[in-house]
Amino acid sequence: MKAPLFFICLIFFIGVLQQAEAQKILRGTVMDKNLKEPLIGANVFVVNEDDRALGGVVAGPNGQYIIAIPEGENLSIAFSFIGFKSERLPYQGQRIINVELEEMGIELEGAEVVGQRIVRSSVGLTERELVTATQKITTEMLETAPVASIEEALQGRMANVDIMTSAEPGAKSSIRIRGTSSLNASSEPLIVVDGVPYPTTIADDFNFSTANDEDFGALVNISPNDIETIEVLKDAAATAIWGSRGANGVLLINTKKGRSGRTRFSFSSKYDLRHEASTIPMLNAAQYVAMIQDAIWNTVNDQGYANSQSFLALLYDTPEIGFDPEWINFREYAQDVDYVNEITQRGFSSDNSFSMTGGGDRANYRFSLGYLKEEGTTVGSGFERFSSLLSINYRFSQKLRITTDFSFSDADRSSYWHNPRGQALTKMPNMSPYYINEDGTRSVEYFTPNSYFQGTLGSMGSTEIKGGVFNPVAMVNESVNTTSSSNSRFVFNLNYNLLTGLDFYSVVGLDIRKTKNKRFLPQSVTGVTWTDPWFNRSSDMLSDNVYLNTENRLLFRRGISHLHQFIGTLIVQTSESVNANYKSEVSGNASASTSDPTAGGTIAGMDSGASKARQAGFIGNLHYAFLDRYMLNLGYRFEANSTMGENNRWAGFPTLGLAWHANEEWFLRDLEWWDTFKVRLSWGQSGNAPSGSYSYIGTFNSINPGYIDFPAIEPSSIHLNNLKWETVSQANLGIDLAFMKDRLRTSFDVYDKLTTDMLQRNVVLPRSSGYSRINWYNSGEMRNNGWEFRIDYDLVRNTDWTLAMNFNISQNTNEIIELPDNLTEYRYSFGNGAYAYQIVEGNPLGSFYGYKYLGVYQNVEETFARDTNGELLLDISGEPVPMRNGGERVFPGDARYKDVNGDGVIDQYDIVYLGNSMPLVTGGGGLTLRYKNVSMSAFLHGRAGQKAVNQTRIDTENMFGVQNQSTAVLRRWRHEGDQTDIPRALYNKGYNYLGSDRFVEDASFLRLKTLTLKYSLPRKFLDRYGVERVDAYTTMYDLFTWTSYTGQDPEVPLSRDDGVAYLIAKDKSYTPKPVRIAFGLNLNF
Amino acid sequence: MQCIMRYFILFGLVVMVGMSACGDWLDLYPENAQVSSQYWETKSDVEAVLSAGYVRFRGSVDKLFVWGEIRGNGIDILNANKDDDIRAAQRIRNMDILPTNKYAGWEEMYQVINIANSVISYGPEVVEKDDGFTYEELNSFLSEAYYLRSLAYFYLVRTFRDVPYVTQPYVNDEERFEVEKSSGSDILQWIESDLEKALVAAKEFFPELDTENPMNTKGRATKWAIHTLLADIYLWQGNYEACVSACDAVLASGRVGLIGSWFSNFYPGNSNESIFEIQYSYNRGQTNSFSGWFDVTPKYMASTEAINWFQETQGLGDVRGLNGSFIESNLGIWKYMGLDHYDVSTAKRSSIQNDQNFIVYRLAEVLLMKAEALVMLGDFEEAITLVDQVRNRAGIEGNLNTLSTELEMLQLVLRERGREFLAEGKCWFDLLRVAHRDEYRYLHFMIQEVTSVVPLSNMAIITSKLMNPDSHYLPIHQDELNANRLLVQNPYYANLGN
Repeated sequence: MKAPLFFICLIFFIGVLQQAEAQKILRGTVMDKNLKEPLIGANVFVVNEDDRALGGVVAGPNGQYIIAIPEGENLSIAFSFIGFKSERLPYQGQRIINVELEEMGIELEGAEVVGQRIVRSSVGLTERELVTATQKITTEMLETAPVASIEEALQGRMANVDIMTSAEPGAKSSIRIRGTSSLNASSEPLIVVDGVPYPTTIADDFNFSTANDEDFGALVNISPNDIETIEVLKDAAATAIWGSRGANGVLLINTKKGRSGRTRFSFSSKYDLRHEASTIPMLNAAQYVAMIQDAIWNTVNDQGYANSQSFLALLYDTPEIGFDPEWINFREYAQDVDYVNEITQRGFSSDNSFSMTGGGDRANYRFSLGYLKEEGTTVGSGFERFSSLLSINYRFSQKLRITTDFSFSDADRSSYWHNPRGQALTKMPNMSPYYINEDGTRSVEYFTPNSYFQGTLGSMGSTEIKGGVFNPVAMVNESVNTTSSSNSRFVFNLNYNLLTGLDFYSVVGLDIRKTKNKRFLPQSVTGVTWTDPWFNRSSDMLSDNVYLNTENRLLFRRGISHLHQFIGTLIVQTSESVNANYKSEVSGNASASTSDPTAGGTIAGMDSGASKARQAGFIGNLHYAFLDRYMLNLGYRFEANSTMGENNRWAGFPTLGLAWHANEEWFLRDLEWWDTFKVRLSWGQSGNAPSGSYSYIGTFNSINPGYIDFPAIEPSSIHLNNLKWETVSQANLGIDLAFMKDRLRTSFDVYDKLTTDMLQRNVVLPRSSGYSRINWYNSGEMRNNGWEFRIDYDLVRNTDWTLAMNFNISQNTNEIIELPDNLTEYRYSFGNGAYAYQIVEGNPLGSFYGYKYLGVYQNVEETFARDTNGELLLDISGEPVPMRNGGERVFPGDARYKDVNGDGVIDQYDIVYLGNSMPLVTGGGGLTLRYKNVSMSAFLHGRAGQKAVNQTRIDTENMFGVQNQSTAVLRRWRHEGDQTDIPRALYNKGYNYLGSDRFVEDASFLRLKTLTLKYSLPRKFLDRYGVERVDAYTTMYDLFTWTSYTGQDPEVPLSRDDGVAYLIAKDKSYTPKPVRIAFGLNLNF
Repeated sequence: MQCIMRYFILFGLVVMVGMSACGDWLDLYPENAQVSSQYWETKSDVEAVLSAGYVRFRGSVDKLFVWGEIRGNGIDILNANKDDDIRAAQRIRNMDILPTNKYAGWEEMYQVINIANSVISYGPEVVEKDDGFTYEELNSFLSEAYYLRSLAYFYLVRTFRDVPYVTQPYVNDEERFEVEKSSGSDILQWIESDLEKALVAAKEFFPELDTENPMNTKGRATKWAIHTLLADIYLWQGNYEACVSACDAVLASGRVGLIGSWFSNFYPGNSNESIFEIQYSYNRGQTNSFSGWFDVTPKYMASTEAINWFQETQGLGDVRGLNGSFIESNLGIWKYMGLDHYDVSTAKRSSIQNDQNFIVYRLAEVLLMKAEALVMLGDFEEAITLVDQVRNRAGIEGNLNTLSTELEMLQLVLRERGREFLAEGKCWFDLLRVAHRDEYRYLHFMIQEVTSVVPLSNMAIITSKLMNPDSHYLPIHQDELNANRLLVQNPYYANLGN
């Protein structure tokens, strides 16, 4: 009944509208002012006082237009055309308006105007108004660096942002802003791209045994070419609006946006060649065999001929080291192979990107495409990425503006099943990786015997192949490990000016990721038989993640008579992440392409998981400035996280900040040479939430099989009502100074960061509770304090010459103040190569504990035990007692450790503190020199004071087993009087390489990270071709490193040793940093 | 300004509404696990948890065996075996026990206790919610839970003497996890009263799928299982009259009786004589490692002392000795391996079908417990007739004569227990029970028995260790002491450190 009536009304209404339009018509022409030609396609809009378009037309063939004028007051007519200055004329009832538009210059002025636009943070503050420690860098200098990721480019650029990169293509970096502040919650900073958090770590409940952060944690898959600015927020007052996720600092990344005007294109292309620096020199075939025989002989001598039948057999009846030409595999064991050389290559990489930007009066856009291909220096490793980004800006009116960004990236990382480096170093060099033909040449068949002198290839256990022996050459060539990840990201931004001084912002970000990992380990790598679970093993892992973030913000800004200025903000944030993952592992497959479990094979394992987590935050912030000189900032964040139970889910975190522009005071204002003298003081709290999705929820799990015919279900984890936020309180005092017309800018900050209610994970419970562990428990305190300083100095700045330098240095000290009530975090079992790990009050995290190494016992005299006063220890019959390492008596040539307690035995009571993995000082500095069109820049990065366990040396200097060793062991002790720090070779006996300071090295370094030479073609020349800019450059990356560290690379990544609660620096002979030489071209037109 | 206020009020309202809605929005539950706050809803929830108690008991058989048997004199340990478990067991036997010994861990028993506590405290809530769940069924479940909990505590008290006494389930982190020890004798009194209550609703039998093999009746706690456990506890405490009447309750039940073929107790098992056995079933995927313990190269084998016991009765027709309890070739425990008495042609159990039940109580033990109680009450005549009943069933002809002293009579009963229950996890508990009564009146008897299987070189040291009654109980595991600061180590081990 009602519908027809509605339609009648509608038709009537449209009729009225048409009639109204017919009443007012405006005509005219749009012409080019200079050429006096019609501008075909020019836009003509009727706009109201808010600049909202009420109607519009496009000018016809002769530049003519006809437009209907709607009802309304204060209307204007706006004329615009791409590449011309817009005109706006008030409409006062005219019938005809003819306009002439003026062409805009092709100069870059427009861009510079954008650059000087007042940039406000999300709480509406300008840089001048900030009370917190932040640092912002623009990414011009990143253009010339041959890097795949932003993390790599940022290394050393920002004070107290300690970034550790890996040399493996596509591998993730670890970032620490102002130290490690949590034991068990994540210590990585939050990365925010265009106002929306960007997740980079894998979900906590994604715990497949073989998956790791390197494969599944996402890189910031944004091409450095698309980045406009990067800002780091360090102190709690600054990170407050990002809440718990920002407790470890925040990196704000803004991508480039569209610019109005003529369509501009830019193209950049980079090619680089990477060459691996020299690796550890290893023994050759003859030296290896001699060393093994020496080692076996020493063991035989120690324990007597009679007890050494098995060793003698090894010595005499082992064809692998016996050079017996009669033996069938003689040829395969009579080679001299440099295995590291076999698995390394020169890597070639290219990075191309293209972008276009343009737009008219109301809308503009930027679109970019990028393609990067990297080749690692280990054969078989590589990284490939396609990325695209589209940003569209639309201004509906003066009041309403909308920006949408859409980005898509697709990355493929290829690697090998298991890192072959360790195996390549220690493989016996007289063994060939291939079968050898009659004529002595290599055949194409891999020589991978199931069992040989160095071990049994099949003895890899059933869970991981760590410690197994395999053919490293086959590993890099034949094993498959590819991770493909695609990431679609959509960000919608709305800004509505409600009233003068009151703005509403809304941001919605959607991030969808799909990661697939496929692996295959063929039999040619392992040599195992058909029945072995590692025979042609393959695995498929799939992970899907969807992240949805929203933010709604009211921003109010008002000044009262120039004396008082208020800026208030209210923010509501929500975020949700949904994860699902699936894995299957199959053995006995035909090929990598049939790893699907339905394709046959024996299923070795299957797993799947699903989880969801949500967060919400309400933030209020008030900024008050008096005389634009004294500033006060008060904030409060009320935050909730679904990982905690109802009682402790919500928590409030206050922040407080003060700033004072002292140079504007009467007593300093007259001193002309100050440009800035700003003192900042801030204090704030933020929280760390436990990771995982359902951390607090107690669960029941079924036990299989049940009892008789009854299914059994038992409580498996305890419900956590007391689980609460880990709180980080941070105070910061900073001074910003600028002199000489802003040519010299410095900034100094000191801070103190205290973590309380530390989140402890898997805390042991009394077994009388029926449970072994409780998932989470809050207890303990930790402190990080330090300072940071940076200086930028433009020494010379004129038309021909530019000379600028920048430098930053920072220090962070970590200390454990209070340990959890019943933490028994001590892991040590006596044995070669093992270090003790413990968390000790007063010592920093990441510490190593072990023995003091004193060199080698030269003679029998020296092997007698002495007490702490240096007196000989005597037995009952008055004979001197020989020292014992563990249970074993020492002989001349054995390792000598400090007997701290003087009891004649080296055991765990002689363990002392040996150092820790945290650097004392980190920093970086650069220099840029330009003369006319040629510029040169250099950048250095360094870390000092950190120690690392050189696991590679432990593996290559122990002479304990059958592994090949480095040439350092040629210096091994053989006779009394040999002045050396390397003990004698001893096969399968003794404790000559206990975890001692012998292998703990100072990993301080200073590295020339980049050295760039750039030439820009002269502007005059380019103008003739309508080209804006052409730069050609060459960059040398990681060119030189000054260090006393003896391993391959002093930048030792932190890793988690088995069962240790914290990360430590242990150098496991991963790919060393290659030297990279890049050539590139940037073209804008 | 007014306008601004309006917007702020509007925004504030949105925030408030948002926050109140957030409570639900933030309540997320895993899809692939049972959430404990949403668990206890139906009868089957209760039954599944109860069943988990039995599963955990089944998982602890390794410990029950070592605790009850290893320091006795019935079995020997194969030295050549370099298995970690075996070395730990060997240390216990040599009285060379450190607080880090694996067998000093009591976690399995407390898992059973926590599960039983859950049933006891949540069962009554469920019966209110689930209409299909009757009070009768609930009480029957509760009696089983009480039985499991009491049996676990009885094992703990016999092994550690004083242990934490926990009767509430641990549900969330607000509980007090660190609990001090309670005295063993108090614990026994508490569990006695629990069991006496449980008797009322306990089932006399359970429905069976296979009446030939009554797994449920023999594998779950019946009224008779509770009576038997009570008898054992009374006997331990020296409450002999109560023990006799508990035994009589079982003997008069009409539900259990001595069977003619002794070997049928072990194969096929679940015989008419059985009272409570921990069930294994190959067809149901519920298997044990007995073949590794007792078969081809046995970890545990008959001791020379045990062989002597059987030599006394061999000539009288005892079927339990050679080729019954053990075989000659490797002294392995045949009762767990064979399908019948050993003969060259007798088939062994299939080596993969490891589903021999672990017998906790059978009627022969009720008879011998009653006999022991009667000895202590001075009724030697009656005691002898009970022992004879067991002997006659084993094929021994003729009857025994009463002996003159209490000790001699006890020795006689114990010797019979040794023969009847070889490798059934009883021997050490028997010796300790007799030794500890009446202020360690029979301590020397126990030491003499224990040292009969000890090499001469160790005899003096073990004797001196056993003189201290504290050494009869295991230390509290070091991990447990670290995690629970209220615990006090058994003084005998207090100075050993770790």
